Amino acid sequence: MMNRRRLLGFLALIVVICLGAWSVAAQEDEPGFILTGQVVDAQGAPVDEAVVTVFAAGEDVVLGEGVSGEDGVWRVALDREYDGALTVVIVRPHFETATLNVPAEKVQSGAGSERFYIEQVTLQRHVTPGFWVATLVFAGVLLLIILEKVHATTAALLGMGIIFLVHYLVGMEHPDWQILGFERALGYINWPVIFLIIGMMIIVAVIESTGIFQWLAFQSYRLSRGRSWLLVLILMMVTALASALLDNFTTMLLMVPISLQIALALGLNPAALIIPEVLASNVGGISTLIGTPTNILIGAYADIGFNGFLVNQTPGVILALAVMSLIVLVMFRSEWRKTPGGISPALYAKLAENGRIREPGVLWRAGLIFLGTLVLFVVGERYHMEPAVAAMAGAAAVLLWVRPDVNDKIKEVDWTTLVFFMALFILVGSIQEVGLLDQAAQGLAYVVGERLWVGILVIVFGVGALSLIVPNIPLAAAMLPVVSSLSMIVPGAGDALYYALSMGAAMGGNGLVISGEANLVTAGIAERAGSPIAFKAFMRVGLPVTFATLIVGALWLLLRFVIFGG
Amino acid sequence: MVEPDKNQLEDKQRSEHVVLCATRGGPASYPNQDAAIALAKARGQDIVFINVTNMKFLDKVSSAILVDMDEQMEELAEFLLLMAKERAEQAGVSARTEVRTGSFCQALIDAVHTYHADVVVFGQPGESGSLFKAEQLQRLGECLRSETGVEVVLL
Repeated sequence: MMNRRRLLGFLALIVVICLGAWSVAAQEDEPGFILTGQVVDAQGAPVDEAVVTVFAAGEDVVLGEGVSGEDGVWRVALDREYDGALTVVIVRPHFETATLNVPAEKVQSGAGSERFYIEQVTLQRHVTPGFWVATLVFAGVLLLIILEKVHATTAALLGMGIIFLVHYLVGMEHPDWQILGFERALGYINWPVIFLIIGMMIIVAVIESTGIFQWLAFQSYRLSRGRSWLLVLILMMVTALASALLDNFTTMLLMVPISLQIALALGLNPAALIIPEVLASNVGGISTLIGTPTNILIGAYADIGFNGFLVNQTPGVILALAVMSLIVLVMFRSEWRKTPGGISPALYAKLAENGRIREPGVLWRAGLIFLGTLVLFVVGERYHMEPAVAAMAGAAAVLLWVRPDVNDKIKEVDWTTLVFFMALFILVGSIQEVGLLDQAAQGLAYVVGERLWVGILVIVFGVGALSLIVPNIPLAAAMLPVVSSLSMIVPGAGDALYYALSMGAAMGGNGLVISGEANLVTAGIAERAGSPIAFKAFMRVGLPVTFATLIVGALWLLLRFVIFGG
Repeated sequence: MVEPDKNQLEDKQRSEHVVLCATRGGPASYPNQDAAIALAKARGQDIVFINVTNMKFLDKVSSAILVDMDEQMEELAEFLLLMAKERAEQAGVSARTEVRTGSFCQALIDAVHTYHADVVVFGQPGESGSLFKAEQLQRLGECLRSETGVEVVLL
């Protein structure tokens, strides 16, 4: 009995759903026509969420409303009986309101068809109080990070909080103060970046515990057989390679302590080893998608995969490393003339102990998985697989095969960094929303015109110069929409300007000790070991290297994309 | 019951009273280490080199820290103290080493009690820079004196 009732209830439900669907279909079939158009900004990029209201001309009667989608296209259904003139009003926060007048004859001709496309409308930016709030908040957050007044994550969260509070508490009463609502803000968070970072963090956390990089540093020392010039060159190559595979910051955390030990044991000025290492690390990282956080951002934003960075950046990186090596050999030439003292057996034993492979079993299993993940990065592109998928698969494989304590490894994921990234995405979204980045793009487009070679030079050297003092992660995040606009305008740009951004941000980070977190942490470790690196000492090497590598990097990109045409 | 002879008693006292030298270990610390070694030699005492590691410099970093830096810094400190120990032994002073973590002041107070140190030596900032400003070191010295009654030598 009960089953029969259930069956009848189920059938009734199906009938209701079918009737509902028929009703909707019937409504769609009702006589009428679709008025449609597209909204773009000054750069020709689609503008979404513009509210389009269609009035009968000269009257306040609303005939229909619609909202533009991600492609900037809007659609408003109108009654087929209407044949008078129309007024179309397009409203979008941070843009001037646009009004279109559609004459009656045009409406009558269009009403004969199902869809009537009127025209593309270009909305002009409008500077509102919200623009100034977002701009000042972003500048304030950058300043807090540069001055290290608070943790970068705190600064980014504070900025994000101010944006939301102004948007809701002031903007709801005064629309000109609106900046970015919460739901729209979530759309600015680049989730592939977040998942790629999580996956790589888990894999790297397992690999670093094996001691492979300390072992490589110790072997470099043994291989150099007391020739300090050779030692620094080998260490630079090892560091550059490690940075390409891990990331430059992690690489320096691993390499600096053991390199300091080697330098002090040999009686060398530690700066002569660790400054070249950090310079090589910052440049080496840009040859792969996972080598620097800025490359991860660029890759996810511009859909550039592992192969793209490897093929288009690596030759430039090798050339830059060669030039850097020459400069380093010249700048520290007095150190190479020193005759290294012999290391006592006790010190040698301690060095060997600190430079040993700690967990050989873990190393080969984690190493195999890491290699597999790299292969998946490369092969995955054929199947349109996001790099984040390969990273998460690698992380799962490491947890399954190596069997570390899962809780420990998940705790080792640096959530502070991930929160920083999320807050940063929203902050950059806010300045994009209010039009600051459009204005920057317009300014840049004015300078560059349609010349790709000028675009490459401007981005490489402009971003390189800014990177001297502006942290390169927020800088790259803010520059991405600008570079995207420019890439649409400059014929044949392809991804060239994104690579220019990657090179500029990384190479500019070598100029000063404050130019990058890898530099700062290297100086921090050295200071705690009683071997402080003075600001001037770093700059004396960092600035020439930055200048020379920026030139080499730019030349490579010109060769690759302008002379050989991409 | 056998009474310890005078020499044995002196040896025991000597081993219980040491010069404690707080050092980071690198070249900027060599002058302070040398002064502490000379002091220990003059007083006929052993020297204990202590390195207090802390990770404050990583506090404001936004990049992911995936490396066990406590372990890395401890190994580095052990190596640097081993170098200091060799310097002391070359000067004919018996030396021991210890790496501690956390608050610099508390670590020194604990070490003074552990080693029955009657002199603590640490350095003032030179041209090479220091983790502490001169006033901070003065305050630290006063704190150590009042907490432990130990003699503090600021170099």
